Amino acid sequence: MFKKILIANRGEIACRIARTCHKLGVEVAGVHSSVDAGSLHVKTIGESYLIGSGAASDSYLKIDAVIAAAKAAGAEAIHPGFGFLAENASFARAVEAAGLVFIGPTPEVIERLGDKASAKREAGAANVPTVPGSQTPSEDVSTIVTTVTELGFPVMLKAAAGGGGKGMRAVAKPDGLEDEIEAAMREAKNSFGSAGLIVEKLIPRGRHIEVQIAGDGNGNVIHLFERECSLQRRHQKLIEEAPAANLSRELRQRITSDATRLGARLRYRGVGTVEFIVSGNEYYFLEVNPRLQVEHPVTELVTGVDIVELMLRIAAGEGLSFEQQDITCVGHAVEARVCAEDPADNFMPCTGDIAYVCFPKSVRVETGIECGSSVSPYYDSMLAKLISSAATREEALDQLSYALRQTSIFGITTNQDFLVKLLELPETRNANFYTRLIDENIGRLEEKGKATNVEASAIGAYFWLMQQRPAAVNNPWKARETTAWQMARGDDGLSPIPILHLEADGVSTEIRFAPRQADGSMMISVNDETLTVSLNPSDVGKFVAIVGGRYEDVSIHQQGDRLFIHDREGIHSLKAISYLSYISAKPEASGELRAPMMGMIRMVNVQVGETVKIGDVIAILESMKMELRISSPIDGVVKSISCRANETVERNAVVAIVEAEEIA
Amino acid sequence: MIIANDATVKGGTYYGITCKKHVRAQRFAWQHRLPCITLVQSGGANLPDQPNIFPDEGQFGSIFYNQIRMSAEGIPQIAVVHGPSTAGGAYIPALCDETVIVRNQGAMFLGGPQLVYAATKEEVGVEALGGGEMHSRISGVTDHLAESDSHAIAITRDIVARLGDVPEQKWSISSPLPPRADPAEIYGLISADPKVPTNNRDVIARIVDDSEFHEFKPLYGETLITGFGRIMGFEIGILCNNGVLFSECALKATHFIDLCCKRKIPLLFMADVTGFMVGREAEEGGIAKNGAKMITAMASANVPKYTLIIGNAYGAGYLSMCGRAFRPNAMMMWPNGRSAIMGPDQAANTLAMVKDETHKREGTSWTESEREAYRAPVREEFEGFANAYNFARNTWCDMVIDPLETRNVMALLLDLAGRLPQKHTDFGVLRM
Repeated sequence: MFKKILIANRGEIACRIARTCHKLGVEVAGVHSSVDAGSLHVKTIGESYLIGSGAASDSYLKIDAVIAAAKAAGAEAIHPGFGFLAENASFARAVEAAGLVFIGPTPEVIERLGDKASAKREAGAANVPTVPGSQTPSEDVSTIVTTVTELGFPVMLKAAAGGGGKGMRAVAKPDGLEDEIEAAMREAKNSFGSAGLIVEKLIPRGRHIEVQIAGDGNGNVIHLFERECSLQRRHQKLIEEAPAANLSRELRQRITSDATRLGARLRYRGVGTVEFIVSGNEYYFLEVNPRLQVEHPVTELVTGVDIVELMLRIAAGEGLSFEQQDITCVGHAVEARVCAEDPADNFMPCTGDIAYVCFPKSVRVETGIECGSSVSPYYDSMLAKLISSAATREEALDQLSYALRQTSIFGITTNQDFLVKLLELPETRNANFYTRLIDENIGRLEEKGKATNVEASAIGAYFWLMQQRPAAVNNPWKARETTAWQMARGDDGLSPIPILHLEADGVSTEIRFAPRQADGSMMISVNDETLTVSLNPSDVGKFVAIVGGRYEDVSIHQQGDRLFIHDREGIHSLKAISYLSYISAKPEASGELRAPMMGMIRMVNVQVGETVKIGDVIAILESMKMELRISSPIDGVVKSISCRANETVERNAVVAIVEAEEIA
Repeated sequence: MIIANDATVKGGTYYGITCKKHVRAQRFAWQHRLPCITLVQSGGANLPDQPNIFPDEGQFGSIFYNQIRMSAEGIPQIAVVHGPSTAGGAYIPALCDETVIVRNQGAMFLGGPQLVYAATKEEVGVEALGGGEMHSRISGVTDHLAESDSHAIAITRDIVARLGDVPEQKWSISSPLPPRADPAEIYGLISADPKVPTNNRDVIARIVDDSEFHEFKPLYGETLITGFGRIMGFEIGILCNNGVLFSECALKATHFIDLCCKRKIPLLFMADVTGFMVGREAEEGGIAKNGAKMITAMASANVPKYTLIIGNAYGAGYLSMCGRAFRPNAMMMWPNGRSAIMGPDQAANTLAMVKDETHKREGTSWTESEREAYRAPVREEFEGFANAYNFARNTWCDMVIDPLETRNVMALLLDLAGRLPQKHTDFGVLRM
C-alpha cells in the first residue's frame, strides 16, 4: 500500500477519498484553488497545496500544478476523484511520466473509452449489444442527416467526446433536424472542443442501469452488481439506487456478465462503470466511465465493499482481494443529490454563503460543505449526497425522504423539496420510471410558490426578539429581563405598532408582540392572526417550539437580517426588518432640482416628458465665472422646467422637477 | 434622556408643572451625563400660568440654562421638531447642538403668523415663516431636513450613533443572581395596616442577589438596618428603617454612610419610618445632634444615592432617609408608599388638640362626634396628600414602581451611575 497519496479534487469526493485513506493509514495531501482555501476538503485532508485561482481551468485542471503539488507533498500516487482530470488520458500519462501512480485505468484504456464512438466499437467487439446508429463521429450536417434518415426517428444526437448530458439532443421528427444538429455541434464544440456527433436510435422509455466493475489490469474483472439511475433531469442524475428495482434475475445476469466481459477484453485496471439503457427485456451499451462515480456509495452499502479502498489496492498492485462469488448484494440503498439550485427558477444554480447546515444522522452523508462555507459559481452545484440503506426498497426510500426533510441548509436555495417530491412520486415508488420521466412531467413536479405559514413566522419572530434582547448580559440596558415592559405583566396587550416586519417572496407580514410571560410564552400576532408561542433551546440551533398546545422540533438560525426556520413544512427564509428601519426606509431622493446659487441659466438640456438618468445634466448655470451643472438626482421623467436659457434664477429656485419612474 | 412634548394636550404648551418636569428630567440627565433628545411640538408658555412659568429659577428659563450648561459640559443636546413650535418651543431646538426638522410639518418661529400680523401687519404662511425647508435651506436654524416623523427619528438615531463612546462601567459587576426568597412574597409581607410595622429584613432578603446581605451593626440601633448587598450584580449599601429612629440608629447611619463614601459604594435608602423618637430620654440622649449627624452625613455623601419609599415616610424621618430635598439620584415609591409631615391620624389629632385648646380658652366645648367630624376631613386630606400617586403627580418622586420591578430599576439606575466620574466626599461639620 502507498505511504501517501494526493487527491486531485475538491468538495465531498475529496473528503470521501480522504476518509478511506485515513482508515487505511495512508497519508494524504490535497490541492485547492484560491476560492477553496477555507473549504471543508482542505480542513478534512489537513495538508493542501494552492494550485491556482477560482476557474477550474486555472487550478483543478492544471496538470503541471497538480503533479508539482504531488511532488511537493511526497505523494506516491494521485487519486483524481471524478470530473476535472479523472478521465484525462494526458493527465494519466503525465502522472506516470513523473514517476507517480495514477489511481485509475491505464491511459490507453481511458483513451479507447473516452470517445463514444470508439467505446461503442469496443463494446461491439466484445459482443455487448449497442444502440443502433453511426459508428464514427461526423462533423458534416448532411452526412448526419443521411444517417438519421436511414435509422428512422426518434433519434438521439450525441457529442462523440461528450459526457454528463451536454451536447445530447433527442429529435423526434424531421422538421428542424438540421437546426438541431447544428445546435448539438455548437454545444459539443463549446463543451468538449470537438464538434463531432454520433447518431443513435432513441430508445423510448429507457431506464438507465449501470454495472460497477473492478479489474486488476491482468484480465481479471469482477462486478459489484448494478445501479439504477433513471431519475434524471436533463440527463443529470438526481436519485440513484442499488440494486435496480424489478430487474429480472436473468436480465441482471446478462447485463453484469456483458459488463465484466467487456472489462476483461480491455484488461481493465481499477474501477469503472459500464452504462446501459434498458427497455423492456432489451438493453444496449451506452458508455464506460473509467473512474469512480458520484453514486458509488449505494453500491458500497449493498455490497459492503469500500470502492475507494478497492481502487487504492488495485493501484498499489495488490490486485483484487476477492472473487466474484464473494460479492453479495444485500438490502437496498438509495442516494439523493442535494444541489444548490432553485427548482422554482428553472433549476438555476445558486451561489452564496451557507449560514448553517445540519444533516440528520440517520443516513450516510457525503458533503463538502459546513457552516460558513461559500458556494462559488466556479464548480459543480452539488452540496451533498444523502444515502439511505435498508432491508427493502420501500424502507430505504422512506428513510431517505425523511432524512431530506430533516436536513437544514440555510442561506442558499437547494433542491431538497424537489427531491422529496421525486421520492414520493408513484412512478418512483413502483419503479415505473425512465430517464425522461422528470423532463416529461416537470409541470407536475414544479414548485408551487410555497407560502410561509403563520406559525413559522411567529416562531421566527419570537427568536428574533430574543436575539434583540439577549438574556444576562453585563449591561442591564441591553438585557431582556431588565428592559421588558413590566407594567403589562400578565396582560395580553399586543404592541400597538408592528415591532417587526417579516418579508418572504416580496410579501411583508406585520408582527406584534405582547409581553413575555413568566413561563417564557408570548402572544405574537402575524398580521391578523394571534398565536401563543414559546421557544426552548434543545441543542445548538435547535429548539422545541410550542405553538398553542403543539410541540415541534425546529431549527432556527439568524444571519444578519435573514431568519431561517426549518419546521415540518420545510425551510423558510425570512427577511427581518425592525419597525424603525421599515418605516424609515430611505425616502426617495427629491426630484426637485434647485439652482445652487444665483446666476444665469446658460443652457437647458432636456424637455418636459424626457426620460433622464441619475447624473444627467438638466441645465447649466453660469455664476461668479463658474459653470455649474444641475443634474438629476434620480432616474425619472422631466415633469416641469421652470427656467429658460439666458434668464437669471435666484439661489435655491426650483429649475426643474423630475418625477421618479414607477418601477414596474 | 428623551423629553417629548405632547401636542394633543393644550398644543404642547408649558404649564408650571410642565416646566418642573422638564427641568427635573434635565437634572437627571445632567447628573448622569445623558445625552438629551427633545421631541418638540410646543406652543411655548401657557400664558395664564405665567407665575409658575416665567419669573423664577426652576421654570421655563431654566430649561434653556440647563441645555446650555449641559452642552458646555459636552452632554449632547439634540432636538427633533415634529410640529409647529413657537417662542419658547422654538428656542429649545435653537439651543441644541444638532436639530432635525420634518418637512411640511415641523415649524419654528419666535412669533407665529398671527402674532407677526398683529405686530407688523406682515402676512406670511407657516412654511415660509418657519418651515423645515426654510430653516434647513435659508436660515440654517435646523441641520437636518426629514421627510417624515419616522425619517426624523431615523436621522436622530444616526446622530446618536455618532456621539462617541459610551463611558466605561467603572464598577465591577458580578453575575446577577435572583434572591433565594421569592420577591413576589413582598406583596404579602408588606403590612396592610400602617400601624402594624413590616419586618423589613424579610423585604431586603427579597431585593438583594442570592438573598445575601452583609449586615453592619445588627445588634446596635436595631430599628435601622444597615448593610451591604448586591442588586443585579451591583454592590450597594442599604439603609432601611425597621421602626422609629433612635439616637443609636442615627449614629450607626452616620458611620455606615462614611464607610460607603470611603469605599465609593452607592447608597439605597429604603424608607419606612414615622419619625425620630421623641421624649425626655431621647432629647437627653442628644437625638437632635445625633439626627443632625445622620442628616449631615447623608446630605454630604457624594456617592450615588437612591431613595425608595416602601411604607411610611413621615416628617423628619422622610427627610433623614434622603428625601427629595437632599437630591437623591432617583426618588422612587412603591404604590403603598406614603409621605407627609405627619401621619393622617397624628395630623387629625394635632389639629383637634389645637381646637381643644381654643374650646378650653373660650370656655366652650364640643362633643366627641363633633370632634370626630372635625378630624375626619383632615385625616382624609392627609391620606390623599401622602399617597404615592399624589407624589408622582407633583413630580415629588420620579416614579412609582411595583416592588418586583425594584431590582431591575435599580440595575438600570446603577449602570448609569457606574459610568460617571467618582467623587470624593467632604462631610459638613459633624456635631459631636
